[in-house]
Amino acid sequence: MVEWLIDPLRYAFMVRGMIAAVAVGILCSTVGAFVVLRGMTFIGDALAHAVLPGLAVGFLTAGKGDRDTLFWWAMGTAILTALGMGWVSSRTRFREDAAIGIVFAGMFALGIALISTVRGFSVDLVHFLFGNVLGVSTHDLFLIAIFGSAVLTLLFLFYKELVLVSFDITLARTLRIRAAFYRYLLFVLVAVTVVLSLQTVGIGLMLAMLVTPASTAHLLTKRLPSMLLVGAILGAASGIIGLYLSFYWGVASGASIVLVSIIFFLIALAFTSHRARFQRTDAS
Amino acid sequence: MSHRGSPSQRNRSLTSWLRPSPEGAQHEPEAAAVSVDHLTAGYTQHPAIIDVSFDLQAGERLAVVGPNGAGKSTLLKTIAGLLAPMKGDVRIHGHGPCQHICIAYVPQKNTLDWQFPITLSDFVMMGRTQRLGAFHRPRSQDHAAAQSALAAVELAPLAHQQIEALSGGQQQRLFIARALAQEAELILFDEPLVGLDVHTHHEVLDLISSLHQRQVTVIMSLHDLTIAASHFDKILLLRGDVMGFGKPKDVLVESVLRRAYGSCLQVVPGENGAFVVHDTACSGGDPSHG
Repeated sequence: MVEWLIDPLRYAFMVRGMIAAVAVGILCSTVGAFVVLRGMTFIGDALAHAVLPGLAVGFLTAGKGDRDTLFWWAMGTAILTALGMGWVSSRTRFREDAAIGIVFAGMFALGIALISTVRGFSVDLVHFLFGNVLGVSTHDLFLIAIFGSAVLTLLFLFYKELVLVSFDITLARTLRIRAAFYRYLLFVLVAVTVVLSLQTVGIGLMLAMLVTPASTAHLLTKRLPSMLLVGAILGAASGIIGLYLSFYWGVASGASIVLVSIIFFLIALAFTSHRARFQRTDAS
Repeated sequence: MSHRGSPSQRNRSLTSWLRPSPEGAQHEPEAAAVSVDHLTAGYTQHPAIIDVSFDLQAGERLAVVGPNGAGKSTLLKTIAGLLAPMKGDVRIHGHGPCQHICIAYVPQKNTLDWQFPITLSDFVMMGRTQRLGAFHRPRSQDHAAAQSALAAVELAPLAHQQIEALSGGQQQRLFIARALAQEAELILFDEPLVGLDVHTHHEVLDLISSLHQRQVTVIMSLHDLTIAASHFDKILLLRGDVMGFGKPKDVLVESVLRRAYGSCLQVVPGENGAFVVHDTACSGGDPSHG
């Protein structure tokens, strides 16, 4: 058993992959808690997809080898899109979800169009869409550490304002809190998280990492701090277990991480609905 | 009221930007608690209220009544500073509402997510967000304020329960507790009695009477003229513009009510004076007598 656990860790790429998966699991579940509670899952998904044209331009201008250029293009696109969506969602003129849907599909199509101009594009596209955690370099880990701690620090510093704006916007306004600032801040934090998680789960499965561990934690806990803690544990655990399964069964790493997190969710769902039924029969 | 000294001596620039007026505006001692002056407000081109003027002293309780679409919600939102006036002016203790953090507003349709993972104590503490200041966690005096606010509405035993388990009446009491923790001096309630049973009506109304002793000014919109007459110092009868303002006995008279409710109103002579029935199809409220 011990050998079964240690064996994969003899490979440096597996160790780097583990570290990345744990960091991304913690980051996604923490930011994801706000995404779930604010009911902005659609915005999270849209942000993830809107990164593609940025990746494509970085890919076309720098080539596959230059990871840094890719990263900064993705980051720039994500933050700009986040600010744009924040602006759209502050206009009440047209339906917010429809507007975001149009931006989201448009950006995604633009990204695919750009990448398709390169011969043999399908392999690279697959990496962008589904991630490749085993290709994470030490430099990538460094970027994840820097930006990930920045995101968590900002969440910690503005915790009570972010909670207030997420829960009761009318109270925030009568307390004269700058609600618009916090809405933009949250969008940017989601955008940065998306870019940091690209290598691990890719665009296509990003939403699952943002939403699943946080939702599982929401089922299991009563207070937000414990929801954040349980979500972080579940996110990290999904990363580790997912990578082991990926190693031994040869499953795509991003998919395997997401599937593990969904198994956790289903167990929590079964557990809580059983408990609810138990309480009902108890009460009657 | 006692404004605490500003705790934000450091981080001046960022903190002061995040908190435009850290402790809220200083109150002018001579000014009326609420002064509404020739106020016209509403959405787009069609104002819901036109040329509304009235004054309230600190601690007074005002019931805003009138048929549906009379502009009651618009008036409350404008006084809360959530809606900008088109014309005219609102002054709270001498300053515009947006300079204050002592105004609590309880919206009509409660759209909060009651599944949100917070306890009653967390909910009440949110009212103190601006008093805590950016980057600060609640201190012991903040916990004490939250606790005594919950005790005042008799929800202290549930302080560490999740908010999802509350009944409608308990939710209203929780809003009052939050306003107390906020140290609100003006509380605006938009139709707080809708959907509550008669027993709960009295619970909530008794609490509001107790606010009177704390010198908290209350403005509440409601449909029930009987409650307006029995629990409030003044009544504002609204139908776009002001149909009547003053003590209940001066406002709730047949001629004034007839002007406000028009054909929806029927006056039936009864044993102890007139018996007024206003049609629920027009006003949306229960039939009541005055």
